Amino acid sequence: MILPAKHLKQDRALLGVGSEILAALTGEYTVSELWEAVQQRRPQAVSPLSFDWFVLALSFLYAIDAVGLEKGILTKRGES
Amino acid sequence: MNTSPLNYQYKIALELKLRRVSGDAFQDFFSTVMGKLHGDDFVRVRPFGQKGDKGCDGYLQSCGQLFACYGALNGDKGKVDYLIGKMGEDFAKARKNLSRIMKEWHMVHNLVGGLPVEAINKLDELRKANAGITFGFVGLEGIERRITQLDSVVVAELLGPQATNKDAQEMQPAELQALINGIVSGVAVGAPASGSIAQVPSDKLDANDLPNHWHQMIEHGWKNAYYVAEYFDRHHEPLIGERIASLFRERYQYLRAQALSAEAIMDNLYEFVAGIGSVPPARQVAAQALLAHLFESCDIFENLTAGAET
Repeated sequence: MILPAKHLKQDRALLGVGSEILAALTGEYTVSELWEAVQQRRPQAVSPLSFDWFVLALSFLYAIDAVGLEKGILTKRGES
Repeated sequence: MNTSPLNYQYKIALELKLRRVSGDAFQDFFSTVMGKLHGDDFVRVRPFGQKGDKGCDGYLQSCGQLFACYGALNGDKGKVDYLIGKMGEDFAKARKNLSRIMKEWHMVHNLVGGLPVEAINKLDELRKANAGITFGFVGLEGIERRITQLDSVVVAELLGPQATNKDAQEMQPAELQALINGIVSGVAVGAPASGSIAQVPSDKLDANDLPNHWHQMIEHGWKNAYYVAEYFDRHHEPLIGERIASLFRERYQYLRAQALSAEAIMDNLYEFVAGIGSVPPARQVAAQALLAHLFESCDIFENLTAGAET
Protein backbone atom coordinates (compact mmCIF):
# COMPACT_ATOMS: atom_id res chain seq x y z
CA MET A 1 0.00 0.00 0.00
CA ILE A 2 2.93 2.34 0.41
CA LEU A 3 4.27 1.83 -3.09
CA PRO A 4 2.23 1.72 -6.28
CA ALA A 5 1.25 -1.82 -7.32
CA LYS A 6 -0.39 -3.63 -10.17
CA HIS A 7 -3.87 -2.57 -9.07
CA LEU A 8 -2.89 0.47 -7.03
CA LYS A 9 -2.11 3.55 -9.03
CA GLN A 10 0.58 5.99 -8.04
CA ASP A 11 -1.91 8.67 -7.03
CA ARG A 12 -3.52 6.27 -4.55
CA ALA A 13 -0.41 4.70 -3.07
CA LEU A 14 0.62 6.22 0.26
CA LEU A 15 3.84 7.41 -1.30
CA GLY A 16 1.92 9.27 -4.00
CA VAL A 17 -0.61 10.73 -1.58
CA GLY A 18 2.27 11.64 0.73
CA SER A 19 3.92 13.65 -2.03
CA GLU A 20 0.66 15.55 -2.57
CA ILE A 21 0.45 16.28 1.14
CA LEU A 22 4.02 17.58 1.21
CA ALA A 23 3.32 19.78 -1.82
CA ALA A 24 0.27 21.27 -0.05
CA LEU A 25 2.08 21.73 3.27
CA THR A 26 3.49 25.16 2.48
CA GLY A 27 3.38 26.47 6.06
CA GLU A 28 1.72 25.60 9.32
CA TYR A 29 -1.57 23.75 9.07
CA THR A 30 -3.95 21.93 11.30
CA VAL A 31 -4.97 18.47 10.09
CA SER A 32 -8.35 19.75 8.87
CA GLU A 33 -6.78 22.71 7.04
CA LEU A 34 -4.27 20.44 5.37
CA TRP A 35 -7.04 18.01 4.35
CA GLU A 36 -8.95 20.86 2.67
CA ALA A 37 -5.78 22.13 0.99
CA VAL A 38 -4.97 18.67 -0.41
CA GLN A 39 -8.54 18.21 -1.67
CA GLN A 40 -8.46 21.57 -3.45
CA ARG A 41 -5.18 20.80 -5.15
CA ARG A 42 -6.23 17.29 -6.20
CA PRO A 43 -7.41 17.20 -9.84
CA GLN A 44 -10.95 16.01 -10.44
CA ALA A 45 -9.78 13.36 -12.87
CA VAL A 46 -7.71 11.37 -10.38
CA SER A 47 -9.02 8.68 -8.06
CA PRO A 48 -10.98 9.89 -5.03
CA LEU A 49 -9.11 10.28 -1.75
CA SER A 50 -10.91 9.42 1.48
CA PHE A 51 -10.10 11.08 4.78
CA ASP A 52 -8.93 7.86 6.39
CA TRP A 53 -6.52 7.25 3.52
CA PHE A 54 -5.28 10.83 3.84
CA VAL A 55 -4.68 10.25 7.57
CA LEU A 56 -2.86 7.00 6.77
CA ALA A 57 -0.57 8.86 4.35
CA LEU A 58 -0.01 11.59 6.94
CA SER A 59 0.87 8.94 9.52
CA PHE A 60 3.35 7.48 7.06
CA LEU A 61 4.97 10.89 6.56
CA TYR A 62 5.13 11.35 10.33
CA ALA A 63 6.69 7.92 10.75
CA ILE A 64 9.49 8.75 8.31
CA ASP A 65 9.92 12.18 9.91
CA ALA A 66 8.86 14.06 6.81
CA VAL A 67 6.29 16.05 8.79
CA GLY A 68 6.16 17.16 12.40
CA LEU A 69 3.18 17.68 14.67
CA GLU A 70 3.40 20.07 17.60
CA LYS A 71 0.41 21.31 19.58
CA GLY A 72 -1.90 20.30 16.76
CA ILE A 73 0.05 22.09 14.04
CA LEU A 74 1.66 20.25 11.15
CA THR A 75 4.87 21.44 9.56
CA LYS A 76 7.20 20.03 6.99
CA ARG A 77 10.40 18.69 8.46
CA GLY A 78 13.82 19.43 7.05
CA GLU A 79 13.04 23.02 6.09
CA SER A 80 14.48 25.88 8.07
CA MET B 1 -34.87 -26.45 -36.65
CA ASN B 2 -31.70 -24.63 -35.64
CA THR B 3 -28.46 -26.26 -36.76
CA SER B 4 -26.00 -23.51 -35.86
CA PRO B 5 -23.24 -24.50 -33.45
CA LEU B 6 -23.68 -23.28 -29.90
CA ASN B 7 -22.07 -19.91 -29.27
CA TYR B 8 -19.33 -19.74 -26.68
CA GLN B 9 -21.69 -18.64 -23.93
CA TYR B 10 -23.99 -21.59 -24.40
CA LYS B 11 -21.01 -23.92 -24.54
CA ILE B 12 -19.87 -22.53 -21.19
CA ALA B 13 -23.39 -22.81 -19.77
CA LEU B 14 -23.69 -26.43 -20.94
CA GLU B 15 -20.29 -27.37 -19.56
CA LEU B 16 -21.08 -25.81 -16.19
CA LYS B 17 -24.49 -27.47 -16.15
CA LEU B 18 -23.01 -30.91 -16.81
CA ARG B 19 -20.43 -30.44 -14.06
CA ARG B 20 -23.16 -29.45 -11.60
CA VAL B 21 -25.83 -32.09 -12.19
CA SER B 22 -25.44 -35.66 -11.02
CA GLY B 23 -27.56 -38.76 -10.57
CA ASP B 24 -31.26 -38.20 -11.19
CA ALA B 25 -30.76 -34.52 -12.01
CA PHE B 26 -28.45 -35.45 -14.89
CA GLN B 27 -30.89 -38.07 -16.16
CA ASP B 28 -33.66 -35.51 -15.96
CA PHE B 29 -31.65 -32.97 -17.93
CA PHE B 30 -30.77 -35.47 -20.66
CA SER B 31 -34.38 -36.66 -20.84
CA THR B 32 -35.56 -33.08 -21.20
CA VAL B 33 -33.14 -32.49 -24.10
CA MET B 34 -34.24 -35.69 -25.81
CA GLY B 35 -37.92 -34.95 -25.19
CA LYS B 36 -37.59 -31.48 -26.71
CA LEU B 37 -35.75 -32.92 -29.70
CA HIS B 38 -37.77 -36.06 -30.41
CA GLY B 39 -41.13 -35.29 -28.86
CA ASP B 40 -43.16 -38.37 -28.00
CA ASP B 41 -40.74 -40.64 -29.86
CA PHE B 42 -38.48 -40.34 -26.80
CA VAL B 43 -39.85 -42.05 -23.71
CA ARG B 44 -38.70 -40.67 -20.38
CA VAL B 45 -38.28 -43.56 -17.92
CA ARG B 46 -38.30 -43.66 -14.16
CA PRO B 47 -38.34 -46.56 -11.73
CA PHE B 48 -41.75 -47.53 -10.37
CA GLY B 49 -41.24 -48.90 -6.88
CA GLN B 50 -39.94 -52.46 -6.81
CA LYS B 51 -40.26 -52.85 -10.55
CA GLY B 52 -37.22 -50.59 -10.99
CA ASP B 53 -36.22 -49.15 -14.35
CA LYS B 54 -34.67 -52.37 -15.67
CA GLY B 55 -31.46 -50.53 -16.61
CA CYS B 56 -33.24 -48.09 -18.87
CA ASP B 57 -33.03 -44.35 -18.26
CA GLY B 58 -34.62 -43.34 -21.55
CA TYR B 59 -35.77 -44.93 -24.81
CA LEU B 60 -36.05 -43.71 -28.38
CA GLN B 61 -38.78 -45.80 -29.95
CA SER B 62 -38.21 -45.18 -33.65
CA CYS B 63 -34.71 -46.67 -33.63
CA GLY B 64 -34.76 -48.80 -30.48
CA GLN B 65 -32.07 -46.73 -28.75
CA LEU B 66 -31.87 -47.39 -25.03
CA PHE B 67 -29.98 -44.93 -22.83
CA ALA B 68 -28.30 -45.52 -19.49
CA CYS B 69 -27.27 -42.34 -17.65
CA TYR B 70 -24.20 -41.91 -15.49
CA GLY B 71 -24.03 -38.49 -13.84
CA ALA B 72 -21.06 -38.05 -11.55
CA LEU B 73 -20.92 -35.01 -9.29
CA ASN B 74 -18.67 -32.35 -10.78
CA GLY B 75 -17.72 -34.78 -13.54
CA ASP B 76 -15.75 -36.81 -11.03
CA LYS B 77 -14.26 -39.69 -12.91
CA GLY B 78 -12.35 -40.91 -9.89
CA LYS B 79 -14.66 -43.90 -9.27
CA VAL B 80 -13.64 -45.92 -12.31
CA ASP B 81 -14.58 -49.28 -10.83
CA TYR B 82 -18.04 -48.00 -10.00
CA LEU B 83 -18.50 -46.67 -13.51
CA ILE B 84 -17.42 -49.91 -15.15
CA GLY B 85 -19.58 -51.91 -12.78
CA LYS B 86 -22.58 -49.72 -13.51
CA MET B 87 -22.10 -50.13 -17.25
CA GLY B 88 -22.12 -53.90 -16.88
CA GLU B 89 -25.06 -53.99 -14.45
CA ASP B 90 -27.26 -51.59 -16.40
CA PHE B 91 -26.67 -53.41 -19.66
CA ALA B 92 -27.26 -56.80 -18.05
CA LYS B 93 -30.59 -55.60 -16.63
CA ALA B 94 -31.62 -54.15 -19.97
CA ARG B 95 -30.64 -57.30 -21.88
CA LYS B 96 -32.56 -59.48 -19.45
CA ASN B 97 -35.76 -57.42 -19.47
CA LEU B 98 -35.79 -55.32 -22.62
CA SER B 99 -34.02 -57.40 -25.28
CA ARG B 100 -37.14 -57.41 -27.43
CA ILE B 101 -37.11 -53.64 -27.90
CA MET B 102 -33.42 -52.84 -27.49
CA LYS B 103 -31.50 -52.44 -30.76
CA GLU B 104 -28.92 -49.97 -29.46
CA TRP B 105 -27.44 -49.30 -26.02
CA HIS B 106 -25.81 -45.95 -25.22
CA MET B 107 -24.16 -44.82 -22.03
CA VAL B 108 -24.83 -41.14 -21.42
CA HIS B 109 -22.35 -39.41 -19.15
CA ASN B 110 -21.40 -35.96 -17.87
CA LEU B 111 -17.64 -36.51 -17.68
CA VAL B 112 -16.71 -33.27 -19.40
CA GLY B 113 -13.00 -33.99 -19.26
CA GLY B 114 -13.38 -37.40 -20.90
CA LEU B 115 -13.93 -41.03 -20.00
CA PRO B 116 -11.37 -43.36 -18.46
CA VAL B 117 -9.97 -45.82 -20.97
CA GLU B 118 -11.48 -48.67 -18.95
CA ALA B 119 -14.92 -47.49 -20.08
CA ILE B 120 -13.88 -47.86 -23.72
CA ASN B 121 -12.63 -51.36 -23.02
CA LYS B 122 -15.84 -52.24 -21.23
CA LEU B 123 -18.00 -51.02 -24.07
CA ASP B 124 -15.91 -52.99 -26.54
CA GLU B 125 -16.29 -56.07 -24.35
CA LEU B 126 -20.07 -55.63 -24.35
CA ARG B 127 -20.08 -55.06 -28.10
CA LYS B 128 -18.16 -58.25 -28.81
CA ALA B 129 -20.37 -60.29 -26.50
CA ASN B 130 -23.61 -58.98 -27.96
CA ALA B 131 -23.59 -59.07 -31.73
CA GLY B 132 -26.60 -57.42 -33.25
CA ILE B 133 -26.72 -54.55 -30.72
CA THR B 134 -25.10 -51.21 -31.51
CA PHE B 135 -23.22 -49.64 -28.62
CA GLY B 136 -22.02 -46.10 -28.00
CA PHE B 137 -21.34 -43.24 -25.62
CA VAL B 138 -23.11 -39.91 -25.42
CA GLY B 139 -21.05 -37.24 -23.70
CA LEU B 140 -20.64 -33.47 -23.82
CA GLU B 141 -20.28 -33.34 -27.59
CA GLY B 142 -23.25 -35.64 -28.19
CA ILE B 143 -25.48 -33.67 -25.84
CA GLU B 144 -24.28 -30.43 -27.42
CA ARG B 145 -25.05 -31.75 -30.91
CA ARG B 146 -28.58 -32.59 -29.85
CA ILE B 147 -29.08 -29.20 -28.26
CA THR B 148 -27.88 -27.37 -31.39
CA GLN B 149 -30.79 -28.94 -33.25
CA LEU B 150 -33.27 -27.22 -30.97
CA ASP B 151 -34.88 -23.87 -31.49
CA SER B 152 -33.02 -20.96 -29.87
CA VAL B 153 -35.92 -20.30 -27.51
CA VAL B 154 -35.78 -23.88 -26.29
CA VAL B 155 -31.99 -23.68 -25.90
CA ALA B 156 -32.44 -20.58 -23.72
CA GLU B 157 -34.99 -22.52 -21.61
CA LEU B 158 -32.50 -25.34 -21.14
CA LEU B 159 -29.34 -23.37 -20.55
CA GLY B 160 -30.59 -20.02 -19.36
CA PRO B 161 -30.58 -16.62 -21.07
CA GLN B 162 -27.23 -15.52 -22.46
CA ALA B 163 -25.82 -12.02 -22.74
CA THR B 164 -26.15 -10.40 -26.14
CA ASN B 165 -23.76 -7.98 -27.85
CA LYS B 166 -26.04 -5.19 -26.69
CA ASP B 167 -25.71 -6.37 -23.09
CA ALA B 168 -21.92 -6.37 -23.50
CA GLN B 169 -21.93 -2.85 -24.90
CA GLU B 170 -24.03 -1.61 -22.00
CA MET B 171 -22.29 -3.24 -19.03
CA GLN B 172 -24.09 -2.14 -15.86
CA PRO B 173 -21.74 -0.52 -13.30
CA ALA B 174 -24.20 -1.47 -10.56
CA GLU B 175 -23.89 -5.12 -11.59
CA LEU B 176 -20.10 -4.95 -11.42
CA GLN B 177 -20.35 -3.30 -8.01
CA ALA B 178 -22.72 -5.98 -6.72
CA LEU B 179 -20.47 -8.71 -8.11
CA ILE B 180 -17.33 -7.34 -6.44
CA ASN B 181 -19.09 -6.59 -3.15
CA GLY B 182 -20.40 -10.15 -3.14
CA ILE B 183 -16.93 -11.58 -3.68
CA VAL B 184 -15.32 -9.41 -1.01
CA SER B 185 -18.02 -9.99 1.58
CA GLY B 186 -18.12 -13.73 0.98
CA VAL B 187 -14.43 -14.34 1.60
CA ALA B 188 -12.19 -13.19 4.44
CA VAL B 189 -9.27 -11.48 2.77
CA GLY B 190 -6.29 -10.41 4.78
CA ALA B 191 -3.64 -7.94 3.71
CA PRO B 192 -3.29 -8.42 -0.04
CA ALA B 193 0.01 -9.64 -1.40
CA SER B 194 0.81 -7.63 -4.48
CA GLY B 195 1.52 -9.60 -7.62
CA SER B 196 4.48 -8.97 -9.86
CA ILE B 197 4.03 -6.50 -12.66
CA ALA B 198 4.91 -8.26 -15.88
CA GLN B 199 4.13 -7.78 -19.51
CA VAL B 200 1.29 -9.97 -20.77
CA PRO B 201 2.47 -12.43 -23.42
CA SER B 202 0.48 -11.77 -26.57
CA ASP B 203 -0.38 -15.43 -26.92
CA LYS B 204 -1.24 -16.07 -23.30
CA LEU B 205 -4.67 -17.41 -24.29
CA ASP B 206 -3.19 -20.07 -26.57
CA ALA B 207 -0.37 -20.96 -24.22
CA ASN B 208 -2.74 -21.78 -21.37
CA ASP B 209 -4.55 -24.41 -23.39
CA LEU B 210 -7.99 -22.96 -22.79
CA PRO B 211 -10.74 -24.35 -25.02
CA ASN B 212 -12.07 -22.13 -27.77
CA HIS B 213 -15.26 -21.10 -25.96
CA TRP B 214 -13.24 -19.79 -23.02
CA HIS B 215 -10.95 -18.01 -25.49
CA GLN B 216 -13.97 -16.24 -26.87
CA MET B 217 -15.28 -15.38 -23.43
CA ILE B 218 -11.99 -13.75 -22.45
CA GLU B 219 -11.79 -11.91 -25.78
CA HIS B 220 -15.33 -10.60 -25.40
CA GLY B 221 -14.68 -9.70 -21.79
CA TRP B 222 -11.69 -7.58 -22.81
CA LYS B 223 -14.05 -5.03 -24.29
CA ASN B 224 -15.20 -4.14 -20.79
CA ALA B 225 -12.04 -4.97 -18.82
CA TYR B 226 -11.03 -1.31 -18.94
CA TYR B 227 -14.16 -0.41 -16.96
CA VAL B 228 -13.21 -2.90 -14.29
CA ALA B 229 -9.83 -1.21 -13.89
CA GLU B 230 -11.58 2.16 -13.81
CA TYR B 231 -14.00 0.89 -11.17
CA PHE B 232 -11.12 -0.21 -8.98
CA ASP B 233 -9.34 3.12 -9.50
CA ARG B 234 -12.39 5.10 -8.44
CA HIS B 235 -13.50 2.81 -5.60
CA HIS B 236 -13.54 4.48 -2.17
CA GLU B 237 -11.27 1.72 -0.90
CA PRO B 238 -7.89 2.16 -2.61
CA LEU B 239 -6.81 -1.44 -2.02
CA ILE B 240 -9.95 -3.08 -3.48
CA GLY B 241 -8.18 -3.95 -6.75
CA GLU B 242 -5.27 -5.53 -4.92
CA ARG B 243 -7.63 -7.44 -2.61
CA ILE B 244 -9.64 -8.91 -5.46
CA ALA B 245 -6.51 -9.77 -7.45
CA SER B 246 -4.89 -11.40 -4.43
CA LEU B 247 -8.03 -13.44 -3.78
CA PHE B 248 -8.15 -14.72 -7.34
CA ARG B 249 -4.40 -15.42 -7.45
CA GLU B 250 -4.76 -17.61 -4.38
CA ARG B 251 -7.83 -19.33 -5.74
CA TYR B 252 -6.13 -20.00 -9.07
CA GLN B 253 -3.05 -21.42 -7.33
CA TYR B 254 -5.26 -23.61 -5.17
CA LEU B 255 -7.10 -25.02 -8.19
CA ARG B 256 -3.87 -25.48 -10.11
CA ALA B 257 -2.38 -27.39 -7.21
CA GLN B 258 -5.21 -29.91 -7.61
CA ALA B 259 -3.92 -30.69 -11.10
CA LEU B 260 -7.19 -29.55 -12.68
CA SER B 261 -7.25 -28.82 -16.38
CA ALA B 262 -7.27 -25.21 -17.54
CA GLU B 263 -10.87 -25.74 -18.58
CA ALA B 264 -11.92 -27.01 -15.15
CA ILE B 265 -10.11 -24.13 -13.46
CA MET B 266 -11.89 -21.64 -15.65
CA ASP B 267 -15.27 -23.29 -14.93
CA ASN B 268 -14.58 -22.96 -11.24
CA LEU B 269 -13.45 -19.34 -11.43
CA TYR B 270 -16.44 -18.38 -13.55
CA GLU B 271 -18.89 -19.95 -11.12
CA PHE B 272 -17.06 -18.32 -8.22
CA VAL B 273 -17.64 -14.93 -9.84
CA ALA B 274 -21.00 -15.30 -11.54
CA GLY B 275 -22.70 -17.80 -9.30
CA ILE B 276 -24.14 -21.23 -9.93
CA GLY B 277 -27.07 -21.99 -12.22
CA SER B 278 -28.81 -19.58 -14.54
CA VAL B 279 -26.98 -16.25 -14.45
CA PRO B 280 -28.74 -13.08 -15.65
CA PRO B 281 -27.14 -11.58 -18.79
CA ALA B 282 -26.06 -8.38 -17.02
CA ARG B 283 -24.17 -10.40 -14.43
CA GLN B 284 -22.60 -12.57 -17.15
CA VAL B 285 -21.20 -9.45 -18.81
CA ALA B 286 -19.79 -8.13 -15.51
CA ALA B 287 -18.28 -11.53 -14.66
CA GLN B 288 -16.68 -11.86 -18.08
CA ALA B 289 -15.20 -8.36 -17.79
CA LEU B 290 -13.77 -9.10 -14.34
CA LEU B 291 -12.20 -12.39 -15.45
CA ALA B 292 -10.79 -10.81 -18.59
CA HIS B 293 -9.30 -8.01 -16.48
CA LEU B 294 -7.68 -10.51 -14.11
CA PHE B 295 -6.43 -12.59 -17.03
CA GLU B 296 -4.94 -9.54 -18.70
CA SER B 297 -3.31 -8.34 -15.49
CA CYS B 298 -1.71 -11.75 -15.06
CA ASP B 299 -3.44 -12.57 -11.80
CA ILE B 300 -4.86 -15.82 -13.15
CA PHE B 301 -3.33 -18.40 -15.45
CA GLU B 302 0.26 -18.64 -16.50
CA ASN B 303 2.29 -15.99 -18.25
CA LEU B 304 3.45 -18.34 -20.93
CA THR B 305 4.08 -18.03 -24.58
CA ALA B 306 2.82 -20.85 -26.76
CA GLY B 307 5.34 -23.65 -26.94
CA ALA B 308 6.94 -22.76 -23.60
CA GLU B 309 7.02 -25.39 -20.87
CA THR B 310 5.18 -24.69 -17.60
